[in-house]
Amino acid sequence: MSTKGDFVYAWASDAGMAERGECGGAVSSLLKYALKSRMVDAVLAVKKGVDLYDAVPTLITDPADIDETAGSLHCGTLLLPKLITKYCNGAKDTKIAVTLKGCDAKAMYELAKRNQINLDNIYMIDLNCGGSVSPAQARKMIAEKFETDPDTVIREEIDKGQFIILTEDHEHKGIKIDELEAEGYGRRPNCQRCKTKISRQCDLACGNWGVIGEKAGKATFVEICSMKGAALLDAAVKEGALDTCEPVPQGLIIRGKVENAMLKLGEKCRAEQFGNLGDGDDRLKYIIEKTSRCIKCYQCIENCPICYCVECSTKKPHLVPPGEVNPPMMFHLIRFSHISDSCINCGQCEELCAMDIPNSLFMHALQVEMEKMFGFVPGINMDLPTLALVEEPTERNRLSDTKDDQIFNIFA
Amino acid sequence: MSFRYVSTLCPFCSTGCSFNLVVQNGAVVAGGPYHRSPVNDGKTCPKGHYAYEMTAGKERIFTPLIRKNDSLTECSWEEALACITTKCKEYAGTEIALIASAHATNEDIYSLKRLAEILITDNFSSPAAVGIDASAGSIAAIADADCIVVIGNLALTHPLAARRVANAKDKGAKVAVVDTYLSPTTKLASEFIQATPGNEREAIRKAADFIVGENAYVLFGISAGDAEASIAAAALEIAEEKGAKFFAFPAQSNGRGALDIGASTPIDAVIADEKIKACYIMGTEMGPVPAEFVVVQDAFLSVSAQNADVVLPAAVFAETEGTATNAERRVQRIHQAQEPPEGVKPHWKIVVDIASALGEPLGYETPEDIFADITANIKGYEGLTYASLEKDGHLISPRKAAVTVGPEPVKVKTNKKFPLVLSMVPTIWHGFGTAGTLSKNCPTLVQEVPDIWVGISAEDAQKYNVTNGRNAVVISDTGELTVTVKVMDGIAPGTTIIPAMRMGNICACEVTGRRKNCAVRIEEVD
Repeated sequence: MSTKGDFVYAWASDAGMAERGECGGAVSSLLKYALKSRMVDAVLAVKKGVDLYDAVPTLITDPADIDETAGSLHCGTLLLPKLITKYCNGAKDTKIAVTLKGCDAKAMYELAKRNQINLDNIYMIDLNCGGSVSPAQARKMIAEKFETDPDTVIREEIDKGQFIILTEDHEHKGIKIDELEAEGYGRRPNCQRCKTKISRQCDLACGNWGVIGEKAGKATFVEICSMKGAALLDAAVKEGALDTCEPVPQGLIIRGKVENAMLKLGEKCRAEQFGNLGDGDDRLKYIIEKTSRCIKCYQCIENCPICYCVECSTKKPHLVPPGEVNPPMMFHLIRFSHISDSCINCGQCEELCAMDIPNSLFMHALQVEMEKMFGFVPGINMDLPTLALVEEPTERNRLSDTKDDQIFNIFA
Repeated sequence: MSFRYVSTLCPFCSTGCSFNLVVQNGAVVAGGPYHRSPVNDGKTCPKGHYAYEMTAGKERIFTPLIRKNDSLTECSWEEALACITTKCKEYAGTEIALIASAHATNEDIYSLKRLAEILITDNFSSPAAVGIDASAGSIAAIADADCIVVIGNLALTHPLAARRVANAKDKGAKVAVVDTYLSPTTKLASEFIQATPGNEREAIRKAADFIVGENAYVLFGISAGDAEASIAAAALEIAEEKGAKFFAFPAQSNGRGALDIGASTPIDAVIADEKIKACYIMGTEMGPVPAEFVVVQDAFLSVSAQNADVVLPAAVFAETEGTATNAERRVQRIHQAQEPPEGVKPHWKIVVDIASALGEPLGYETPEDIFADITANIKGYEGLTYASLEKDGHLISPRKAAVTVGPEPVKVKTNKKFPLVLSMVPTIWHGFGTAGTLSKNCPTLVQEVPDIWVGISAEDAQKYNVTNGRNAVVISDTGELTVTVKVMDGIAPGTTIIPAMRMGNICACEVTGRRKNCAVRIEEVD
C-alpha cells in the first residue's frame, strides 16, 4: 500500500503502451485504468494534432482512445482547467482525470475556490514541467537556430539545460536554453518565470526527472501527493495495469537537483524580466504604453483561469465605454484589480493577445508584489485570496462607521 | 458530456486567421484558440473571437423563399429550383450576372464559375474585384521589416496583420501611417500622415520620403477613399520606386481566392451594366439589386435577399468544408464543425443542384471533388490536396502586383449647405462592406457598437453646435441619418468620419450612397 509522500518508478504493464507512452507509459496506463475501472467518467488530456507542435485538447470516455494521448507534446501551451469549467460543467456531476502542468494545477485550485470546479470529482495528474514552447516559436527557433526544417523533427525535449531535437534522420541537436532565451527564443516568458515544476497539489506528480539506472527512459518517476493518488496508483498496480519499483536513491537526489536548478533559473528570469519593467512611475508608464495597443479582443479574459464572472466589469458601460478601440486604461485596471492577487502565471493572456501585449508579465509582477505584502500564494491550496478577507458592503460599512481610512485593514 | 475542437478559418477579413470551434452534441457552442495556427499563432481579433455566434444568427434563413404577390413566401427547394431554371432560360448569357461572395470558400466560388459557364456569361464577379491584387510573401515576415508604410486603418480592418507592424516597431522598425484620422493604427506609428478625400495620393507620395532600409514594406489596407484602385496604384508606385514589398489586403476573407478563381470582372462594371436583367448573388450583401430577376443564396436575409425573387438558404462557414486563400495567398482548409440546419445547404451544393436542374450536372459530390478541379485549372493551386493543406496550408509564391488604374480620386466639394467632408471608416466590430451581414449576426459584436455614430473634431462640434454623446442628424445630398456624436481627437477640422456599418435600418450608405466620401452638414436633434 502506498501513501502520500511515497516515490516510485512506474511503467505500463502492457508492452505496447510502455513503448507508445513517454517514459514507460505510466501516465497513459493510469488514465486508461481510471477510465476502465469507472473511477472516472472521462479523461481530459491532449493529443497530437497535425504535428508534434499541435497539442489538441481531447475529452475521452472510451479507454481505447487513451492511446491517442500517449507521448509528450512540449509545445502544448494550452490551459485545460477552463475547458472543464466551460464544457464539462466544472466536473460537478462527472468524475474526470486530467493531466496538468504546474500552471494548470494552480488554475484548478483557483477555479475550485471560485466554485467553478469540483475538485472532489477530479483526479489531478501532474506532468513535471520545465516549461513549454509555443508552437510558432518552436518552429521558428528550430528553423533559425537549429537550422533544421521543423517538419523533419520527430521529437523535441528539454533535458540537462538544453533544448534537444531529434530529426527523421536520427540526428540529435541540442542548444543551451540560456543561450536560446537570451536571444528571445525558447520557452514562453511566463514559463521562464515559473517556479512550479512539480505540482504537489495534484494527486500524483509524474515525470522523467530522477529516473536513472536500468529504468532510465523506461519508467516514470511518480511522487504520490495525496491519499486519492495513492489509491489510484495502488488499484492500477493491483489490477495489473501498472508495474512499479522503488526509485534508485541517487535518482531521488538527482530529481531534487533538477527541480532546484529549475527554480533557481525561474528566480533569475523573474529578477531579469521584472527588472526590465522598471519601478514605480516608470513601470506604470511602461504598462500604459504597452496596453494602449489593445484592440479589445477579450481573449485575455476568455482564457484567464481567474476570470469567471458571468457579467464582466469590462463590459459595463459606466466603466468601459462599449465599442471604443483602443479601450481606455480602465479596461486593463479592471483586469489588474480583479486578477492580480490570484494570477497563477499561466501566460494565456499574453500568448493569445492579438497585439502581443505582455499582459502576463504585468499581472505576474503585480501578483509577486502582493504576495510579498499579504503572503497569499495562489494555486497551491484552497486558501482564499487576500481580498476575500473582506466583503465589500461590510468593509464600506466599517469604513463609514469607524471613520477609518485604512481599506482592507487585516489587522483590525 | 463531450466536446471537441474543430479548426476553421475566420470568415471576416483576409488575414486568414484560424481558430477552433467548440462542438458539443453536434453543435457549435463557442470559439477557442488554435495555438498551432500558421498565420495568427492562436490569437484573434474580436470578430474572430465571436464569429461562432453567427451560426445562431437571428437573420438566418432555413427555407427557400419565392416572391409571390410582391412578398417573399416560403416554398420547397423543388419549386425554387424550377423557378430559377425556367427564368434562366429566358435570358441571354450577356443579360445574366453572377456575383460570388468573397467570404465563401474557393469551392463555392469555383462552382459558381462553372454555373457562369453553363449560362454562357462573362459577367462573373465578386466584391473583391476592385482592380487590386498584390501579395508579398508571408504576413509573419512583416515583423522583420525595418521600415513600414501603412495606408489605411489596418489595426481595425486586418488586426492580426497590424500585429506584425507592432512586432516590427518593437524591434526598431520605422513605421508611418497614412490614414483619414488619428486612428488606432496610427498609434503603431512614429509618423502620421493625414489623408483627406481627394488628396490620398499626395499623402501617399509624402510617405515615399519616409521609406528607407533594406526590408521595407508598403501595406495597403482598405482605403477610406473612393477610386480605391487609383489610390492603391499610388501606393504601389512608391513601393516600386523605393524597392519596398507591396501588400494589398482584400477586405474579404477569400478576396484573393475569388480573384484567383476568376470572379474578377470589375464589380463596378457589372453593377453599372444596364444590359443585365438577371442577377444571381451568392452570399454577399449588394443592397437592393435592380435587375428584373434576382436570385440570392445566403445564410442570412440580407437586404439583397429581402428584395430578391428567389432566396435559397445557405450554410455559414462553420457548416462547410473547403478552402480559402488569404491576403498572403496562403490556401488553407476550413473544416466543417456542424451540419447545416435542416433544409439548408452549403453554397457549392446549391449551385450543384441548380446545374443539375438545368440539365448540366457538374458531377461534384463533395467539396474535395471541386478542389480537384481547382488544382487542375487554377494557376498556383497545382498539385494541392486537402491532406497537403492540413498543417500550414500552402503559401503560393508572390506574384507581380496587379493594380488596374481606375478613375482618379476626386476632392469632395463642400459648400455652405454641406460644409463638412464625411469619410466612411472601418470599425473593428463590424465586418467591412459585405461582411456587415456576418457581424450583425454576432450579438457580442453588435453589443459593442449597436448604434451608428459620427466622429467630429472639438472645433467643429462647437462651430456646428453639436455635443459629444448627443444625437445629431447627418445630412447629405443623398439622404440623412440620425447618429450619436463623438467628439474625437485627431480628426482634422472640416472632416468627419462615420463607421461603415449596416444593421437593420442603420447604414452609413443612407448618407453616402454608393460612395465612401461625401459632403454633409450636421445638426443637433433632441
